[in-house]
Amino acid sequence: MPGVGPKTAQRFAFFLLNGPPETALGLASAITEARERVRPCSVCQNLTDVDPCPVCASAHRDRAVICVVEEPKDVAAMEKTREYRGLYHVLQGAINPLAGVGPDELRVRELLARIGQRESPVHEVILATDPDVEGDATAHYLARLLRPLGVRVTRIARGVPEGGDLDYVDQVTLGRALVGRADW
Amino acid sequence: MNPSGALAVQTLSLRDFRSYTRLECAFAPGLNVLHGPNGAGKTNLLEALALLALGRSPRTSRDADLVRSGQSTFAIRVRFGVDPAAGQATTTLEVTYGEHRGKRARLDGQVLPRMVDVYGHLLAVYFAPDDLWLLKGGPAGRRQLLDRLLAQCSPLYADSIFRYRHALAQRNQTLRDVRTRRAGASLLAIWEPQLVQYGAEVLRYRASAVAELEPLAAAAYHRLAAGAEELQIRYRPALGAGDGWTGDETAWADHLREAFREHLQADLATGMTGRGPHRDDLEVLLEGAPARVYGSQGQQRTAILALKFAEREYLALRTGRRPLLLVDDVFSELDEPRRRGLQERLQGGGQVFLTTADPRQLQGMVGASFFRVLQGSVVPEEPHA
Repeated sequence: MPGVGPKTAQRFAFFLLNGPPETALGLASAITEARERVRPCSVCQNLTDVDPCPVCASAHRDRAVICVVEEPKDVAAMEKTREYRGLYHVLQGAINPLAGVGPDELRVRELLARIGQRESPVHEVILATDPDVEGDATAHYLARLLRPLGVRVTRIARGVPEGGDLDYVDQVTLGRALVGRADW
Repeated sequence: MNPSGALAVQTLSLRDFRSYTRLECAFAPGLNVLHGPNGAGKTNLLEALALLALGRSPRTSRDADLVRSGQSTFAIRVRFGVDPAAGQATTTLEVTYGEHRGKRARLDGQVLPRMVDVYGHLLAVYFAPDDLWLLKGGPAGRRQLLDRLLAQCSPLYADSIFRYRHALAQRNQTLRDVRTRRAGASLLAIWEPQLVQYGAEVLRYRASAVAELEPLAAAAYHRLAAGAEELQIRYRPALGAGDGWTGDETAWADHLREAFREHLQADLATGMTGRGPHRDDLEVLLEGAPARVYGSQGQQRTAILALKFAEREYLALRTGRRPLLLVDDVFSELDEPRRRGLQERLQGGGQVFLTTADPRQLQGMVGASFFRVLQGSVVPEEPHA
């Protein structure tokens, strides 16, 4: 399990074995239920226990905008901003040939199918893949596919975080923010 | 410009690193001479300091080799500062290694996100006895010299070269996937924007650094050799067309994009990216001819020392701090006049760590602190009479 070393794993095991049986059995059945009921949303591919997921089913979301992210946890991060009222699409990864992951291993076809739908046209796709080498390459890949479809393609900005002191920003972020400075 | 402050390591602590079980040792801000028989562990001390400066050992790429035999983890920690003797604040830098999680660095207790973030804190220039291969070997070693230098000066460069190499590895894998029909050729293009952006940054930094290093290296050569030959260094980008290209990042990006396009068919045939800053060279010339063929053994060694001293000057100019010099057993390779020239250059220029099997070679050194290295211990000695 990610983030759990051998010592912590052992502590978990003894906690469950030494406690009342209900604790362990309750956890076991909760895991079973979650594993059986939670599946990718048939529309956005985010993990959900109802299909379509609450975001896709909501009448209050802007259906003309889709924000593309790599993982379900990225949806959670975007939702915390409370700034975004559009829909999502979860790729379930990024293009990474060294790890054997190409576009066919991602939920790209499902994204393209959503753009073409006549009943709810999509005007903008926001590419919010990670700002690393694979995330940027995946964004380029998607932009090449999406632009010919007549949809506006945008990429989230990067740079200095809000509300902090400039001297706490890491040197690379600050250096690139300086290189990419804009007229004001 | 203010005279630059000298970086100095106050204490070095080791646990299960190479031959050392545990070590805690304090050093002097000036010249530290580490002497002892061969195999006593002198070089391991320089290696530990270099690892903290560069994020990796200059001697091996296998971190497991650095662990004391029978153990699975090691730790290296230094307390250092700029002129710490003058009461300036000090910093603690630590690198730990574990079999499964690899290396991790901490600066004043804070975990650094990546090992490349180690660059730029503890600055160092490393002189090794086998540095001659820098001249005689292929361009990889000379590129590495430039990359280590620039990564120490600029966190942005460290990030650019890291991302460039990463995107390059992905493009090379894609080339192989296209050859075996696992991927379509259109997938190659998605790596290009990043290769061009970060590659152009790398090219611009390297070209301007070599231009600034050149006069520093030429002057250092004259002082070391008192010789008449002229040392020159030239940056040779592997872009396929003529050299002498300079200019801003946009120009470099255009050249690079063009080079990738031109070479695409060859890349597809070989499954390797044949053009770009990962193929560049740094040419070292004596009297206008390649130093590897022109120079005598002594001239070649002097050329390398001159490059290293130029690195030191460049780091000091760029960062405002004088780097550590880590000098591993180079005296035995030099004749008497060059030895004297080197001794003069090592004095009064900040902190130096120098290893030798024969401390008598260094008796002329004023103000040196001597340490005897033996079987995993380092013992300070009274000043020599």
